[in-house]
Amino acid sequence: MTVDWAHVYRTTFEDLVRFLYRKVWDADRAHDLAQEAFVRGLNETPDHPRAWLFTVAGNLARDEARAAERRKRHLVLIKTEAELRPVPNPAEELDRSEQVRAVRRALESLTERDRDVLLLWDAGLNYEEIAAETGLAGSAIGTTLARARKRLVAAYEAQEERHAAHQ
Amino acid sequence: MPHINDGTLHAYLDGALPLPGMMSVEEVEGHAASCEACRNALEEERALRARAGVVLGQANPEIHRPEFAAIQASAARRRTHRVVRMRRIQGLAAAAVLVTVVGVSAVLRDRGYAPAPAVTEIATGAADARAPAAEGSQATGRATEQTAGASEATQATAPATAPARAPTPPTVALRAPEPVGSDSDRAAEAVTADRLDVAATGAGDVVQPAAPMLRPAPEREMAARMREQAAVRTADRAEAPIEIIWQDLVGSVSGFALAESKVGGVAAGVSPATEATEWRPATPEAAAQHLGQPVPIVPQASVVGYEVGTIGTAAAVRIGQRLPDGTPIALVVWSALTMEGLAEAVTERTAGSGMVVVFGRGLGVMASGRLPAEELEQLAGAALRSGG
Repeated sequence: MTVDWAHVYRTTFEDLVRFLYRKVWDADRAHDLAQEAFVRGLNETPDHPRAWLFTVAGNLARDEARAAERRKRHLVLIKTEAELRPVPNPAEELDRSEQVRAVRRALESLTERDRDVLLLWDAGLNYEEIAAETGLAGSAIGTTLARARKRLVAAYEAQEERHAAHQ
Repeated sequence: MPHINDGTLHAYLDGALPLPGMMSVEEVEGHAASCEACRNALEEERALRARAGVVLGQANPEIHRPEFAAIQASAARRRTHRVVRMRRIQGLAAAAVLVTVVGVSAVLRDRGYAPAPAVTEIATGAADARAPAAEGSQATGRATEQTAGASEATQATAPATAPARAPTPPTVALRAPEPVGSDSDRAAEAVTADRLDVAATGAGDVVQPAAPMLRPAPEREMAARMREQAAVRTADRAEAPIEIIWQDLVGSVSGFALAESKVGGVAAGVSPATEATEWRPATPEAAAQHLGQPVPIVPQASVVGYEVGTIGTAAAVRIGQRLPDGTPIALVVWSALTMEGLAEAVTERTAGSGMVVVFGRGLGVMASGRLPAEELEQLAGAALRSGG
């Protein structure tokens, strides 16, 4: 069986970067890891390429977390693009950063299982693919998603309320 | 009938029904039509689902999708490296077999047993192994074939009917096996790749008619090999915009050789140089195609020329530029898959030569030149922001 990787790449790359970004919270690293997943994929012929890519990407993101501490040493010497990039509108940029931090904190308030299911769904995987990826029964995905969405929204809105109270 | 649970409502809203053990779409809709509580619950969950989507959408990164060709090129290089690594492991295994055979032969001789076949025969067996008559030595021959690597070419050119010289001493050069997993692995891999290339062309010859020869330290070997190739490369690239002065190798870190470079004939500090890479002059368009996206260049600086090659498994482009005051700089841009290797190289900058790396757009940009590190950093950052 051959895989039309060009098609998979066109239709999945953005989803994969978004999925990875919400795991590593660094856009450049998310791009790098997504590319790495595809480079590995091109040397394989998985039955379900899209699901396979997300599995590999999830593993890469986990490895990434482990390597994060080690890489911090290099950050002393290497300026990231974020530091070099001109800030078009500081206030706007600050708002955007705060929003991302709020989403990150809200996601981190979920259990790992709930977070994975939610991110996989948001990345475009269907219930069957999410079930295969997480080991949950297909019929349990809806319940997990319902709980994850409730907690995400509740955690995010709680932060908004706290933020409003401070202003 | 009991009310519809949240999980089923979300599965319905997500278009995931039917699922085994759950209500069908018709059942959900039929029930909601006749049950006000479930109808309200459905609307609440619909709003919750939409709200969750909005929340997540606030953490969307800007996405740049590189050309698929760049990914394909990286994958192809990865395949090649895998083969090289496998051959290297096989080579080490064969070296161990060879050393064992020599050792056992020596011990047997010392103890007065009949002389064992000379190693030359075993090595020749590699070539003979392909002949049906040499059945007995096939296994050893196949193993030796890997060890000998380049020597196979030499063996193959020798007459297949050469008389056996059993009593003569061994004439195969022994290479001390290199420890697997050392810091110099990647450098050695590059050397191995090169060695295989040489073997493939029949130009290599590692068989020496003397006592065992120990392998030099990988960095020294790399330097030696670079010097050997320097004359050829210099002649090839007489008109090349960026000249890596291989003779002035200033170090090797994480498998990346660092050499003095010139841009348009003017010294421009250190540049990374990988032995396995043959940089080729290219047009701006070809360089962009090779990299899979526009090539970052320093704005307001004239371009002397582009070259394309690889660093590790990543597509890379080298750009020679001149600043308005004439100062030459060299940029090396690569797909940042090999970030960690080069990041480590950066930590060991060569004193007196500026070399700075910045990352962005899924690329690494290394700027080198005889300028303060801060200025190089700004130039590399400006190149990244230039968008090509």
